[in-house]
Amino acid sequence: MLKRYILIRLLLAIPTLIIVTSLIFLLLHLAPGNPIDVLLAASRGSREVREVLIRQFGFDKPWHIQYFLWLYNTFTGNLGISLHGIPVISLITPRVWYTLELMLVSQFISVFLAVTFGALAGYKRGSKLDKTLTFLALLGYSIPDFWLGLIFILIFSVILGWFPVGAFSLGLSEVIGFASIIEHLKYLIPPLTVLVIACTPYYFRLLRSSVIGILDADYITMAKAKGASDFIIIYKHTLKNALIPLTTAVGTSLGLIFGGNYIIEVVFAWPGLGTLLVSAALARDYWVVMGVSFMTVLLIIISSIIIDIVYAYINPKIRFGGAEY
Amino acid sequence: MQNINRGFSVILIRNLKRSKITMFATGWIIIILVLSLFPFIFAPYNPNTTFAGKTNMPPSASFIFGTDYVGRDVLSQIIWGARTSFFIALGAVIIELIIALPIGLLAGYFGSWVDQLFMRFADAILCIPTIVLLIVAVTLFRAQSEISIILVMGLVNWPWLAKTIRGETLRVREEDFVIAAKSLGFSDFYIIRNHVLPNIISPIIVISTFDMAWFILYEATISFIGLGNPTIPSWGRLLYVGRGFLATAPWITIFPGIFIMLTVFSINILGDFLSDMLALKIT
Repeated sequence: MLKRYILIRLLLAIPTLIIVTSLIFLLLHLAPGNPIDVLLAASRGSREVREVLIRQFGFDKPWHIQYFLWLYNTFTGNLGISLHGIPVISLITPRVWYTLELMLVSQFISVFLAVTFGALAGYKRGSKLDKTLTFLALLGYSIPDFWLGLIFILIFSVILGWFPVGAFSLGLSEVIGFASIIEHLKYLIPPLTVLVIACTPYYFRLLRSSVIGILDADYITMAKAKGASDFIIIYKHTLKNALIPLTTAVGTSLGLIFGGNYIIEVVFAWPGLGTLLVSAALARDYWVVMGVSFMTVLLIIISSIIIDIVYAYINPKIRFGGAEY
Repeated sequence: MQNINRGFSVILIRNLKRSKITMFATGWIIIILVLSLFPFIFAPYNPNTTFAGKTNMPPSASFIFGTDYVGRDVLSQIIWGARTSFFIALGAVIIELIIALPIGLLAGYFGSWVDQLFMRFADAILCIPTIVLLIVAVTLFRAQSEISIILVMGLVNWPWLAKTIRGETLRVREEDFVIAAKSLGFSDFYIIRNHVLPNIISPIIVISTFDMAWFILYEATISFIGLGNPTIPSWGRLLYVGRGFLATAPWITIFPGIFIMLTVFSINILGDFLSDMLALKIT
């Protein structure tokens, strides 16, 4: 059943991928000017060079032909060539891991913190602890995450010198090697901390309100009557049910999660997909922009399938099959 | 009607006074609104005037928040930036409403294939990371004008609002007064305008309020990446400029960030307050 479900979801993802990529492609083509001209403006290439390059990159064909060629190539695993002659796929692959590393670790920590404190605040609703946590969450919710990143750099890198300062520029050149784990952690911790501070309040608010909603349920009253300890009531009876809306929230806000991740990557020059996207968009590197967008949407779809499966395990009311899809 | 209105505003003000945070939020929003309406009165200098030889000056008596790398007064830029932020956020909310309102109403009211069509389309849009679309659209339109930022933000964000409007319409559609109006033979257009719309207006107001906060953050993000209009003072532009001088002139970064944070915070508080007052359940 599960295999069938995953297969159907993947098939359903194809129209979504086509809608999204064609939309982005259309936007790219509505823009005036030609990427080759942007490239040549710097090197003052001749007219002939321009013609050759335009043909080589396929920009001489009508836009819908270009799009279908791209689509065909993409499904055969060829994402095209960047303006600098590097295959897009080899630009993207190493970066996917960096992006996933940052995202998975930060989401895991955020959910863990939100579950711990959200359940506590919801259970002790109206207490001083709850009020403080809720206020902090609202404050964290309102801080622009990239600004938080800048302040982090200012305090911990510039003033205290704990972390490398080299991560200021928008530059793509410095790809950080895995040479030493500690060196790697030095670069990972700053963006990670900022992402956790940015994501946790959102999940915290959700979890708190769903815990409050559940506390009135009969089975909680029952558990209390039976003399179960607070710890058991919160973390065994309540949490299991409160996790359902949290899973839904993570699933529907994947686009936002990726977006936030990309901006933080840019702030800390983390060598992921976000920095690549911004620099490619600024340089009008069509096929790189298309490639990164395609990969992002693909990652979002795969994540949402995984989340749906997790969801079905938490929530026994939902089972694969029937009218669910 | 007059009396009911007065009654509501009395309750509103009484509740407002009860919470210090809400009072603060209201005060802050009023300050920012006044600043954005009359920046020329409050700004000490023209935000784009460059003072030669006074680049990256730390905060002092004549430049309260310091100056930036070409010698522009940071405070004046923040005050004029308030206008940019509010103008863009309000514009984006309007665009979003223009798209989401008819789609949400039609999908919710008629259901069946209309609903399916619109909602699947909305789902596809929601699948795109907003920031990807924003980056692509803003860069490629060489936009750098407020209008295109407004358009893009509205175009990217409407599905969220449309889904809420659809849900609310679905709820109202089953109410007795709508069924009664239908059986009396009123046209669908008449029913939507006179019975459905008035009953879903409060969640729309609340969500639009929250979206104002979102759009202020978005605008700052777009300008921060360097895609904003470089000739117009905005909070995002200051952060973009300040980034290069974090070590030598941190005040360019610190002050506009605090303004963004307090404004977004206040709008969220007011949104929470509004939804409590209108006794809504919005998740």
